[in-house]
Amino acid sequence: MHRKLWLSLFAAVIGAGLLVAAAVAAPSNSGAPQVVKHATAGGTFNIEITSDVTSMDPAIDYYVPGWQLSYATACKLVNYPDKEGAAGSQLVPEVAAGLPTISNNGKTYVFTIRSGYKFNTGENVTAKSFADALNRDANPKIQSPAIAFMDVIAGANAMADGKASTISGVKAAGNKLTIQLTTASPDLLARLALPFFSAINPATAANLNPAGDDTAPSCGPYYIQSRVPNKEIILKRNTYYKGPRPHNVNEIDFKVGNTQVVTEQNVTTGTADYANGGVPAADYKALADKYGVNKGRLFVKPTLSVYYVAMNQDRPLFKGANAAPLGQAVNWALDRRAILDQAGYLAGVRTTQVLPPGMPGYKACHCYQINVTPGTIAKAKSLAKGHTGDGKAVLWSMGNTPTAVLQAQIMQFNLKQIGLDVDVQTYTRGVQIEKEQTRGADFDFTADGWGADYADPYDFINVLLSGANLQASNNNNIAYFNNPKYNKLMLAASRLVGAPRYAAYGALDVDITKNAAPWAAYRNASQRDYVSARTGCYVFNPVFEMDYAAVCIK
Amino acid sequence: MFRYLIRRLLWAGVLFIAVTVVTYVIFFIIPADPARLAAGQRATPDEIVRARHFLGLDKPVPVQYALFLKRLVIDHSLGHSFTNRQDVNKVVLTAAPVTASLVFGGVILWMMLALPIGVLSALRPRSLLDRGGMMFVLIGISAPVFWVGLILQYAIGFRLGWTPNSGYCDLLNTQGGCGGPADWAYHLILPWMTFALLFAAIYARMIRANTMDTMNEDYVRTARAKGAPESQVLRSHVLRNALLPVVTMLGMDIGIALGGAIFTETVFNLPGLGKLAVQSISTFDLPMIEGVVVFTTLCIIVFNLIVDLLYAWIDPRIRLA
Amino acid sequence: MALLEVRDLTTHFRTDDGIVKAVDGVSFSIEKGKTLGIVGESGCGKSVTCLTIMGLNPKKMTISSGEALFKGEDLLHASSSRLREIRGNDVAMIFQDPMTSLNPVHKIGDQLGEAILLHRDVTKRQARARSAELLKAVGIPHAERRLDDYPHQFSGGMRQRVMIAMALVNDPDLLIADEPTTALDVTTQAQILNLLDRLQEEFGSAIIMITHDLGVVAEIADEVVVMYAAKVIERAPVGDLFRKPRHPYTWGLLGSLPRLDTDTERLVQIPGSPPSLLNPPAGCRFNPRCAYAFDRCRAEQPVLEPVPGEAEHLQACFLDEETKERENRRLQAGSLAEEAS
Repeated sequence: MHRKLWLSLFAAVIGAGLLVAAAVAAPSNSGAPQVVKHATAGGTFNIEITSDVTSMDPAIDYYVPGWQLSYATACKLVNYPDKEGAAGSQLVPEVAAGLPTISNNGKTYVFTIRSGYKFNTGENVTAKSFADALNRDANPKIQSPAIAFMDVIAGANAMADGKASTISGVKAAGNKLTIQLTTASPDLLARLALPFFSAINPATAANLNPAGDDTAPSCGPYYIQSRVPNKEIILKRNTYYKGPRPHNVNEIDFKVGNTQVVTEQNVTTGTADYANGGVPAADYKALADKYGVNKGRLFVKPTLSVYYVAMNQDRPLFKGANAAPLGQAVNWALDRRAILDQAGYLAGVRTTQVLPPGMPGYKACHCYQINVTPGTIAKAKSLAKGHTGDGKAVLWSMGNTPTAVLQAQIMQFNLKQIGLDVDVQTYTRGVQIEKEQTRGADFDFTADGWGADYADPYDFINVLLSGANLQASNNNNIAYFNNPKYNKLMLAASRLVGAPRYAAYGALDVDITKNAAPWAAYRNASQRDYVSARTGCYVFNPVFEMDYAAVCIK
Repeated sequence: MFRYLIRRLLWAGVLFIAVTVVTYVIFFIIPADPARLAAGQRATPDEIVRARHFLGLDKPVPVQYALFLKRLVIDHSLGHSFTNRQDVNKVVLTAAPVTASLVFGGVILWMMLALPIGVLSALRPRSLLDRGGMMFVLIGISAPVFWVGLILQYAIGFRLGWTPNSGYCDLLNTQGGCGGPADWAYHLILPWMTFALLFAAIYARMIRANTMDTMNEDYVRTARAKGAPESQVLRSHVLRNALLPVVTMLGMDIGIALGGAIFTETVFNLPGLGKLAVQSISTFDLPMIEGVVVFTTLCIIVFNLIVDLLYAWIDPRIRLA
Repeated sequence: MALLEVRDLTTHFRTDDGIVKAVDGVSFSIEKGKTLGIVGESGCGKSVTCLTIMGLNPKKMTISSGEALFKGEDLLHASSSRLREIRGNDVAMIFQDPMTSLNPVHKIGDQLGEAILLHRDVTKRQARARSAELLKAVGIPHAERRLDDYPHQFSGGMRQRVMIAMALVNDPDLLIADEPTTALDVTTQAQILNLLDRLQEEFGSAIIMITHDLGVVAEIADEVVVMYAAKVIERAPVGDLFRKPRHPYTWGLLGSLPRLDTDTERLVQIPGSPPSLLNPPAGCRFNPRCAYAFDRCRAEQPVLEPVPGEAEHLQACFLDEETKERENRRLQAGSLAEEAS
């Protein structure tokens, strides 16, 4: 019937019109009203985060945005300075008067506590404030994830198992805090800089409700005034704070839950100052074109993280003498540029090593050529020759996001060049992690990533590559790399202190990457921060990222 | 009537058990370990054992389910979240009014659209009005909900700035810088439009079809033969019958929608049950998932019961045997 | 003056396939208090004729012409509001299927009340009293209580009584009954017919009875109109029609009735089926099925003319009088179906 045809044509015109409209729709940073800027010291800084924190209780919070927040509120024995780059990852004493006295073969630490630090309630911070924090973290009622970092403290596990009511190895007397360890652990200081070990006041110490306390008083430049779950968190200046750290704005407001699309719109109009959850990946290029990089609106800074392909040393493919040559071949073959491109504009920096630049001890390896050329492919092929087993392998992508799948396909292509037919398998991230951490898992290659908990190379090398840690499940060493020579070297390095420690780890990193090659690392992620026009004093601390205490309003 | 109610309540109980059991089964089939997630990436096996015990996951699954039921029936508590320790009752009951605001406002909006479009299209079939109405229906049914939401948000919320582009304001309390009925409604305009569009289209089409069918019924002819004016024929005879199925559908759709208008809530950052469901599934938070499931199931059961009773009341041919 | 006089009524329907000539030049009249039966096969136009008179055809697709003079007023050219005044008030209609002709979600009392309140300025209580009165009149026991019942609580026969009550509630001058007993069983049928008869005496309304059943016509009608293919082919007082039918179609109708009073070996069959009203046959519309058709029948359309000597008896057939009388005798003897002797 010609009437029906007319209707169809009409519908087609509408559809075409919609497509055209979508194509010409400008990105969200034009034509929107701008907020008038005032040059004030003080003011309220507005931050948007896309997912809520789990809890702001220092014993429970284990979430990057939450740690970023607590960097502005907490005071700790030692802390990272409000600086960028290498200076920012060097621990300095904060509430501790100086570095601790270490004795007993590195097993006894004595801290002297400065006076003058106060909580926002006006109470003094004492040695007991820190002992309380440690005890509360080990308390089975609270079930804090911090306990994983307290294993070297004597008596911590006993308390966590309910066998003791306090940690035997922690003692506070006057202004002295003593911590006994079960074994020498020079990264203790770095661990103590974790937000878990912030000072807490007596009221918080007595609060053993497993739901935690979101507004526990704190002794840093700011404190948490209120939190409404899934809605907002409000920080206010701690007027009792007299320490050296900066504190420019009067109030910091977090709004929770907006999508990246909306967050970007809000920073553009000035309704929000910082898009903590990021903006849609495709928009970074336009922002960079418009504002430049690190010129005031868009900041791209390196994080202490590494993304890598782990090669399962337990599998026949990597058995015995095959492991090293094949691992090296993979490192030559991997097209890191193409893989990184999938993550978006300026999403990271290419690497071939375990340690990220910015980690104390990092030494550039120059082990493999980063650019793939016919020459590098040839080299990879020759290295792999005779070591590819039956020519078949299984690769697990890093979760099931479109980016991860694309990256896995590139890896599959690269591996094909060296004679491996790779079957790519995809799981949701949680499932992938569960499976690959179980010994005996049936993958040859798996794509994964790791972010630093604190700025010490132990957190990478020993945790991720020491064969001494291997167990039936929950392995972080997913390459199942178990080389007695390197296990010994890692143990020895962990016992060193200061410059020798970092030098040893730097050398280990290069050695393992060049000679054993259980990994093909490819990326150190960059943090891309989009801030509003009125945001000033932007400081990026390598461990805690954007510094809220330092930020100011222009 | 009394026996009917008793029977319905018993069936409701059976349904409730079935749904919660299935949720448990699905959850435990997925190979992800909430204890591992709770204990953190650096946890040792001991620590994970402790975390598992803390969360109650070291007991056999049927025992965990039995404990869940016991806690629900006796303590009226849905437990605590695995990820953030919050009281599930509190979280679900905070999220429910948000979804209710979205859904009930949406229902009113969609009926306001669907009734006139459906009835007028039926009264003037094949007219320009009818064709326009059915074009609207086609667009409404075809356009994905999240796409509609994103377009409205970008065009009206961001570019034109006529409404907020996201967020929820409480109806009564002021929280997070906004509150009260005006803020509440202002923030819900775009979500209501997004949520209602699809349903408006579906209902417009259904009302049109029902009305056209009813217009051909013999009793409508009888009414005209009695000398009734068209408006009375329409109101008292046509619509009264044509809209009966709409009542049933409305009840069912409200019940289901209360379970989570997921897309709309995510796009517009409304902290309701839909957003909660997505969050808790992606973090493997079993108590929270069960909390949403329990609440949604209860809503659906209650609404279906109300609809059945209502239907029996408005259609005298139905007798609740 | 006749109560209703229909002259040359024509109704055409616009359909996707073309124009359907459902009623093509129909004329009849009915006097006050009398009963007219309209007989014919399904699809011959008898219902549409009455729907046209009432103005109940769908407006968009209907083209009507002719006159339907009700007490001198032409209903076909009356305004909508005037028609609404008349419907249910001066002229009432009841329909074939009582199961679907009542609104299932309204009480009987309300539906009867509606019929009253549309035309009378009375209170609801008065309307209710009148409704109860009518229910009693049509023979429904416990009338008062039954007013609060719903249609599905009545049997088929009861529902038809309710329909009749609803039609008569405003004392109409004319009641049009469109096959009111077709959907009912035989005993109920008889009851309804008796009821109509009694009510006609009581209320004094004229009745147009549309039916395909000659038995009903014989029972209740004073005058009969036989329709075929949208036209009237014979019209006569009931006795004349049955004893002296003058059209081959009528003979077929009568001859197909089984009889006990004669020794009939075979019943009359009319071969074939009714013609399409989109493209009716040329000439006499019955000619393709008529055993007596000759050339003139196929070329010309016969006009309704009185039978010689009987001014009240009209017929439209070119057959000569002798043949007609001879065939009628055979019909009355019950031997029409056999070969002519």
